[in-house]
Amino acid sequence: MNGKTRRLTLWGLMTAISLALSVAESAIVPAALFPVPGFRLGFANIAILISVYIFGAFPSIGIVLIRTLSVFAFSGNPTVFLFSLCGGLAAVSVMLALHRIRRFSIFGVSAGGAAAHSVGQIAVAIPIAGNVSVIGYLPALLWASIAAGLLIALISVPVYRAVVTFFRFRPGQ
Amino acid sequence: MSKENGNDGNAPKAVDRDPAGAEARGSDFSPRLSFGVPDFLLIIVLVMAGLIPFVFGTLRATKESDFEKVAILTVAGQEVWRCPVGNGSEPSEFTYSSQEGILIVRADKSGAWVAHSDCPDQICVRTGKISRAGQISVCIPFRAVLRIEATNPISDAWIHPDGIDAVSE
Amino acid sequence: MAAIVVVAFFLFFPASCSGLKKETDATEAKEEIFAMNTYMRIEVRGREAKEAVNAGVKEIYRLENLLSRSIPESEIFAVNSAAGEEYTTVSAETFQVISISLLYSEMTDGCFDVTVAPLMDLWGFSSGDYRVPNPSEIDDVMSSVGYEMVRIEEDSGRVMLEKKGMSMDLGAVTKGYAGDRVLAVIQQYDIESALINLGGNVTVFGKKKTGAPYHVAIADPENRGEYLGVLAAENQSIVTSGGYERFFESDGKVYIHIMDPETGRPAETDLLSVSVIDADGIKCDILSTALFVMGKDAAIGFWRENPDFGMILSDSSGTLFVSQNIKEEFSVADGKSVVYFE
Repeated sequence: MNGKTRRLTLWGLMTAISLALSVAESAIVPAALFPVPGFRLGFANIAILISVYIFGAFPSIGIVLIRTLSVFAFSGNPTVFLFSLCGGLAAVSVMLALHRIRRFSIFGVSAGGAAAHSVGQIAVAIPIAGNVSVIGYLPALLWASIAAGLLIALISVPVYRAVVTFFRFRPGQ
Repeated sequence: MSKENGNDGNAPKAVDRDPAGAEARGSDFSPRLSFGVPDFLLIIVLVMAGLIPFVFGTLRATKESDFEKVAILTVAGQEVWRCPVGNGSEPSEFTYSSQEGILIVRADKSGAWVAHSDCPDQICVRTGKISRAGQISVCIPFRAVLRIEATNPISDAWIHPDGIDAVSE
Repeated sequence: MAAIVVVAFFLFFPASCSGLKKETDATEAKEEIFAMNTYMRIEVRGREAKEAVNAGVKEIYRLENLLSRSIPESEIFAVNSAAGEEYTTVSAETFQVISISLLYSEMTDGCFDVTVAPLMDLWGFSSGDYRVPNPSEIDDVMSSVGYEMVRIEEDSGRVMLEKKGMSMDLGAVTKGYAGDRVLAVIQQYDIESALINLGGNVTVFGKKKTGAPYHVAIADPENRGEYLGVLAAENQSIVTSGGYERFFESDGKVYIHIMDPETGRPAETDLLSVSVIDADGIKCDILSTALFVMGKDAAIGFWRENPDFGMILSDSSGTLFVSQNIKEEFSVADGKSVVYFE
């Protein structure tokens, strides 16, 4: 396999994994476990986070778009689709930005992305609801997602190492 | 997001051989994988950012739609009174009178209730305080219905975890 | 460059999202009326929502005029007036409602009985002038209570109450039947979903605009501002019976409006409320009353013999008993203890 093929293969794999993780999460972790409405751990972000580190902007955004569209195709729920699309895009943009600044570790990148996810969701909830009071959910959602972001980073570190080693992603390849 | 654009300028050293970003950005440096001081500062900032709605939240609620819920009294299908219900709403009272006598409803930030009714069965008064979107208190003799509605059109669990569409009773 | 595109995406999407939402907006219509001595509300979503709601309201008034005990033009009024004297020919529809009621009376060993009306009168529940009658009065009235004394003739569609003084009240069936009928009527129109609330008897059809099922709360008999739990419902009726809505107190004792046809007195049961969930609204209405009168053990026993409907019981200790078949859809309120049975 040359570098490009390997990259494309890994990208497809990451897309599939992110989709699988977002579906699996609802099966593994019941939503009722958390007191904050709309909150999820966001396992799918493991794939997004790693792709930010190994692919960069466009491939990562592509994964987010494909994942949200696929989940929409399965669920058919337009409201949930809008929330996850806007939340997902906000998260990946902030992850990319924080990654690029290079001052933050994967923990900061992940926590920032998770925080952006909740801000993005609230941002889209306000026009849909026509109601500013939705902002009242932001603190709880934000704090919960920062914690989740750190957890996701913790999980991602060994996964990232494994992926880099296994696919021999090294500078210049 | 302007922050991101600003930092583009600060980081001109980023090796941008491939503008489509197909080449890994991280390829010329080893990514930081352990928690550091900047991460800690970022998290502090994010946690503090969560407090912003508390600062604005108490100042903002001026329109009815700024509240999550509204109490509405209808008599024979006609709306005669409405009052926002939620954090920051003022206590309010309304008296409706007809040949049946008088009916007094009250609302405060925690809900709304029929405080007095001249009707014989007192079912409406017994119903007590209603506070959740979808709940009703009905007085048949007055043909009056006190109802809590979400000002928010999405009564999904996402926005209104306690929102319901009807009560079986 | 990439960053700019990312920013553009982020700014553009919330805008396009709100545009998308408007397209999915279907027309909605709702109407609230006072009929059958209670408050009713019909909400419909879909292209012909308005027409459907109007037709639904009309259907309620039609049924009230057909089945009410107090409207002199109704068929039930005619049957009651001829008690002990002669057969009355009724419409096929009224005949059907009466025969279904009698069928369930037999099935529930008389715990449900449409002939308890004279008892309701005696205790003052019909007029609102509540009083506790003395035992001899109750015995007198009890001689004209009993579903076995309703004679029906299938071939000719005739009905007769055997004894003078008997009276039939379909009040405990009419709302349930009306729920079924209104649903049938509005489904003839181009609609997507509907919520029919007939004085606490709830019938739902389809899903909400958001794609979520309707959330129907079950009232908490002990604390009316609270719920026992919330049911995610789709294409079914939910009917709750309890003594908490209409009752009176005399000498520190509470007398509820649901009569025990066996004793001629307000039902003394270990249950506070019974909710029945099924696609058949008339069945929900009848069974919720009958199972309430039966009491907890007999109600669970009945369900085990006929486990094709959903059942939620709340007893005087505050415990919920929920049938296994609705465990998924019914989320119990915080702090309530619950027992699932199968």
